[in-house]
This record gives sequence, structure tokens and C-alpha cells, in this order.
Amino acid sequence: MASLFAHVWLEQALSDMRVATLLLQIAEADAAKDAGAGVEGHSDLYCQIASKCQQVVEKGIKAICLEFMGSTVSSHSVDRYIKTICLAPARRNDVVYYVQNALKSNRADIRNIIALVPRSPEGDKTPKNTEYPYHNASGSLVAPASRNAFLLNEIKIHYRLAGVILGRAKTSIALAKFNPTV
Amino acid sequence: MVTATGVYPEYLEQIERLVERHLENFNETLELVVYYAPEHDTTDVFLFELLTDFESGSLEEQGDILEVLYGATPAFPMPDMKGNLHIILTSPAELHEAKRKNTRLYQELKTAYTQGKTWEIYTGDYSLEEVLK
Repeated sequence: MASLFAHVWLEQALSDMRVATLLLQIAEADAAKDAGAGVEGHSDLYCQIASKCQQVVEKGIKAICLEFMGSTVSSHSVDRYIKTICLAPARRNDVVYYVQNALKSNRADIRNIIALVPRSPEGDKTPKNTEYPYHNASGSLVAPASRNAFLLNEIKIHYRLAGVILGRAKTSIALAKFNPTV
Repeated sequence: MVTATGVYPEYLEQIERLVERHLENFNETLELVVYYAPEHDTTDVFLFELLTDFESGSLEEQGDILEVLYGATPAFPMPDMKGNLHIILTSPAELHEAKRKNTRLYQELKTAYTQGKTWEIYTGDYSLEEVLK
């Protein structure tokens, strides 16, 4: 039941990943300059990388879901797309099974990156996100680009996850053609 | 083993195997799984699943619970490889809203229950009787 739209989501996810990779290279150079100047490494691009990685994860999951499910999923929630994939009948050697295991073993990281979806400041408890000012633990409004809002280690976790999901999406779409169970 | 007709409750064994896998994937949050038979699409298979971590807590845009269709595959064979497995997914909060609005999918589950066409495959903190009260 592969969807014609799956590859379109994958194409955009690949482009987002390319931007994330380029930004990460610049951010690492920024951080190295800081370190050379004797201060803790930082780049205002960390939040932008997180944003792109979040987009890669969302689009990669949608591509996988569309590939496996066709156009029968009407929900806009990424969490629901994930559950839809994880509930699909699968045998141990199926592509679906391989994707389900990847989603299961990365569940905590997926939850963390999805939680970073942009939210406009509202009230005094705007959650941390990649785009708009948010309230930190002490209740102050901070910009996602500011120092310590995002850390390099955290960004590397998001970047790794984006690579894993993108890899599964590429494999799903490539192998589905040869796998009668999809 | 695929039966000649595939009507309820002939998929029980297949459903039990499938739910074992669901429990592996959602062991902490899967609270109730019911195999049931609504009055339409009698050769299709219907599974109702209640999950506690089902994001959003509100109904889908079309005003009902999320219903996902899976076609027949070697992983879930059906006669002549035709027919669909329907999984109806919801959370306790969302189900409460569906009950209040008496949505189509809620009505179908309730009707199947009153007709004795429901089979509780797994129960955690919720039972079918409880959620339909």
C-alpha cells in the first residue's frame, strides 16, 4: 500500500538533514573559536540545528508511515504516526519490524525532540522550543539562540537521531519495492 | 491458519499473536485491547486499543477516534489477501470525549458489546465494561 507521497516527504527530510549537517559544521567551528578564546564553546546555531533535526525526524516518520500505510492515516500528530507504524502486523524479517525496533529503542530521544516543536510565548511557562523565547527553570524568558539554551552534546543526540530516522525512511522506501509484506 | 470466511471470532489466534507484539512495544501504556465485530464489513477484523500515552487527548479532525486500516499481508494473512485489519486507537481522555459525543466508532464498540461480539484480549487498568459505563 505504498504511497506516492512518501518519497516527497523523504526528499524534504534529506534536504533538511543537509542543512543540519552544514549548520553543525559551522557551529562546531564557532565552538572551537570560543574554546580558543578560553570560554566555553557555544554557537547561536545550536537551536537551528535542533530545529532542522526535529523536522527530519517528523518528515522521516511521515515518509515511513505513508510508505507502509498508504494514505489511510489522517492524523497530523507525529506521535500517532509512530504508534500507527508500531502497531502494524510484522514478521521478524520484515522491513516494518526493523523500523518498529528502531522507533522503540529511540523512543526517549524521539519524545525529547518532538517536544521542541516551536511554540509562541504564552503565560509564564512557555516550554523550551527551537524557535521562540521560552521560560527557563528560573522563570526567565530566554532566546533559544542564547548561551546555554542548547548545548553541543544535546545537539549531537538530536543529530544522531535524525540520521537514524532518515536511514530507516530511506531503507523503508527502497526495500518496500522488493518486500511483499509492505 | 486463514479460515475460509475470516469472520469474527476466527482471527482470535492471529490477534493474540499481534497483541503480544503490541505489548512488547507499548508494555507500560497499553491498557485494554478488544477484538470486536461491528455490523458492517463482517469479513474485516476490528481491534480496539486503549493507550494511556496517546498524545493530544482530543478527537481527530473528523470528530472521532483514530481508526487505522492495515491491508492483508503475510504478517497478517486474510482470505484471498483481501480485507482489512482496523485498529481503533484512543486514550482514556479521548474515549471519554467520544462517549460524550456518542461518536460512530464508540457506538459501534458499544453495540458489539451488547451483542456479545467483543473479546477482551488484554486488560491492564481498564476493562471494557468500565470504559463503556
